[in-house]
Amino acid sequence: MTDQGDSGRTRKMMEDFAPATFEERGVTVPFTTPLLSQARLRRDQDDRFEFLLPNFTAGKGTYVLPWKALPNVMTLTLHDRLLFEEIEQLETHSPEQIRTCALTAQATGVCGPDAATRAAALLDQDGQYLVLTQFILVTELLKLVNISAADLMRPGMTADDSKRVARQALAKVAAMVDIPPDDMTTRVDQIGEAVAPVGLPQAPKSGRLRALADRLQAFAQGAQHFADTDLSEAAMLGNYISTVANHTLTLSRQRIGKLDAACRDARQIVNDAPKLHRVIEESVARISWLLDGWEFLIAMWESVKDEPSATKQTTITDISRLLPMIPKEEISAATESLDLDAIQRLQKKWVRVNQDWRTGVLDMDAVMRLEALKTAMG
Amino acid sequence: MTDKKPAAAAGTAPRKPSDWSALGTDMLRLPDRKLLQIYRLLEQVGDKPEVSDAFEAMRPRLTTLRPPRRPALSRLFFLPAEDMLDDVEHYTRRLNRICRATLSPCWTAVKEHIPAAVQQEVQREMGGVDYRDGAAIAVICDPLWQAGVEALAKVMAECQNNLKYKLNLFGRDDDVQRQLETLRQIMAVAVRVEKLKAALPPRPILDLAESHVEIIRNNLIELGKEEAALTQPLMLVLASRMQRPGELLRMLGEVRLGGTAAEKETLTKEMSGYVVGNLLRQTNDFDRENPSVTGDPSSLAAAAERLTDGLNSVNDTVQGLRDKEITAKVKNARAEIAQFVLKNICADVDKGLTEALFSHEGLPSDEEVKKAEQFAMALRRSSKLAGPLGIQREVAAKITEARTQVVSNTLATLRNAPRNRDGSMGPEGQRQMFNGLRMVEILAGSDEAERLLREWKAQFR
Repeated sequence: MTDQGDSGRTRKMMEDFAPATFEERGVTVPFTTPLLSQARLRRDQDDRFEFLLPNFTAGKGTYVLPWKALPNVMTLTLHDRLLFEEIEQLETHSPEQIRTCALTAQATGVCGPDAATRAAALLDQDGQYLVLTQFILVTELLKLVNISAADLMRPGMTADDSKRVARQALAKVAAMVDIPPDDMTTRVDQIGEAVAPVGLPQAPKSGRLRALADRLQAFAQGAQHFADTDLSEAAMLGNYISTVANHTLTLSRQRIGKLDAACRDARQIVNDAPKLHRVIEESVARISWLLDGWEFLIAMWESVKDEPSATKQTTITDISRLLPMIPKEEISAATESLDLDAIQRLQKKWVRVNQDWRTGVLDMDAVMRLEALKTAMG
Repeated sequence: MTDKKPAAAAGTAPRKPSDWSALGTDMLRLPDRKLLQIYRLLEQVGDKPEVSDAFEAMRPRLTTLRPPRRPALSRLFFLPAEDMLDDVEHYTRRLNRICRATLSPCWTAVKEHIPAAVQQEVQREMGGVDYRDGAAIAVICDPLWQAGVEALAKVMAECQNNLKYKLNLFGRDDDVQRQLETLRQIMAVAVRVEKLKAALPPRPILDLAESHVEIIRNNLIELGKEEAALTQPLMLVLASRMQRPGELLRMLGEVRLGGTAAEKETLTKEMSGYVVGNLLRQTNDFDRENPSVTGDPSSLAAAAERLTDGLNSVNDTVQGLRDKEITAKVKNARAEIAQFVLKNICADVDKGLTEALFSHEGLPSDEEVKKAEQFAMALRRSSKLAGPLGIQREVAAKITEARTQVVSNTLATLRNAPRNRDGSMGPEGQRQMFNGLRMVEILAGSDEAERLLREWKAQFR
């Protein structure tokens, strides 16, 4: 969609930049080769991997390159080679799967000890949160047969006693729909796995994507504060970033709301688990796609919070080039007031050099800056 | 003298300190932008004790927002020359630099010749501007700097004619006259300098975007049309802000200034002399400041890299000058940096790396791995410098030595590392393998690291 201004100039609207679907936008891969940073992976018409490279032209557009061409164009870090090997093993490529691959590669220590420690901790946290989510689901089911969490933890009860009571209660729940108790356990496991990335609303601690939405809100506020107080032209980019972030946040919160509503009644696990599982999977996938790529940008912004304004201006320009555009299928009118021509012109004013093109030698300082951001991501 | 309150404090304005304090507390509820606006308005009221109560109440938010402090008039006056200033111990003559010790007596003398009305007007107008807004400050301070050009000329003339005046202010050193002349020249283009600074990246400028190059070119051309010599002070300031000042010299060669070809040649030669001289000075300081190196070798290598980068950028210009003296000086500077790199960075870096990574029972800590990374990074940086400094052979040999040690030590560790039940490499071995590969990647590149990974995986399957 375009808008003919008074001057006869055609003003670009958000939709001109937006991909049609999330699949067309591609999934962000946290590579550490500077030119590949925040590259988006998707399949081409022939189902081969291709990457959209926002950093390749330093703000003059997004390059699309097939994976096989990349080693001829740039030197890839060992981390990126291992990560791609992991990705190649996958049958589908969702943000959640890419994250798991990335953490697995990172945990080896291939991109430094801090990133490795962080990856190990995050994988551990994921495991613990899954257990917590499944526990909450079980307690919700037990309520259907009038057993509360307190009943499982009465004074004098051992862990085995608690497990026995829970098993007996679950068997009662399973009997309600005439299925074996083990099947009910399997349902809980599967639904728990599906919902854990966002988490249940009643959980004492927010799930990862729910917490990311909260961080996105703080980030949007930070970008808006920058826009309101910065005196350079980069202020306009702060406003742009804040608008897109808020737009993403609104859509994410709507999806989280729907997910919470779907999970509210535990009887659905009993009565129609396959349908509930489908709804949860779809909602979590949508939330995950919506928030894909933001965590890195938030980490970038947080890393310069105490830096001088000139550093913030450069960072805000870098962030503006990497913004995950909302696909047309999700887009609303909220961003149409932005002058994207002016934004593009501004983005070209701050250019960074990532790699010595003549030698193809990696800029290890830039690589290490990207690795450091990995330690700030969840 | 009366004890009447000033008119501004009369009427409905808060009178008691507690009122001002309450006002400050109320302001904490405002959004950042509004709070900063009111903060700046309050600053215009001046240094009144009652206002300080409001500032005190606002302090928690101000600590977070960090609004810039109001600069003194003397600071504003010398702002266009800030990049040309050197501390007393680092000041070198005849490079068009200015010693900080000169500033205070200079201001004492100059302000006597700047009309009080101009000084007051600048101070008044500064109250209404954000101190980070370089372009706005340039417009406000323009009258101050214009008056400064004349004032400096008067002070210089007075120094020339009145020895006592000069001695009282600056002592016996005649070099001060040269510093004052540099200041005067910068003042003559001060507005342009400040507007340009506001439009370019902060110092040290590493890379110029196309738009930045365009701005610099336009400024040089416009100034050159007025008078070619006016470009010199602008370039002096810019060169001091750039990591690769040679790029500026190249730009100067490309633009068409006013005046004759001979004038431009002289200008280019002079500028090249200053730029090269300034780089040599930094090289001397660098060597002097690091007599015994105990710090992080990677940071030292980064500093050597910056200087070599600067020297490389002036290479073409120096060759074009065909000036034996400058050429010899540049050669000497390179030799000095080369010696520094070999002696302080490369000498024991392989030992440090091996010790950090392999001298312990079991896995090294994260801190030790990071320390080893720093050693490897120092060598990598040195290899980048080796060509221009003529020490490729020495650095390459050191890198090979370090890499060989890492590989052999990693192999030894992998042979002894506990295996999983199925005979595959255990987690400790995996981690040690990747620690080694990380160092190899830094030292010898990703291809070599990948080759070793395949080899080790096959060997210790």
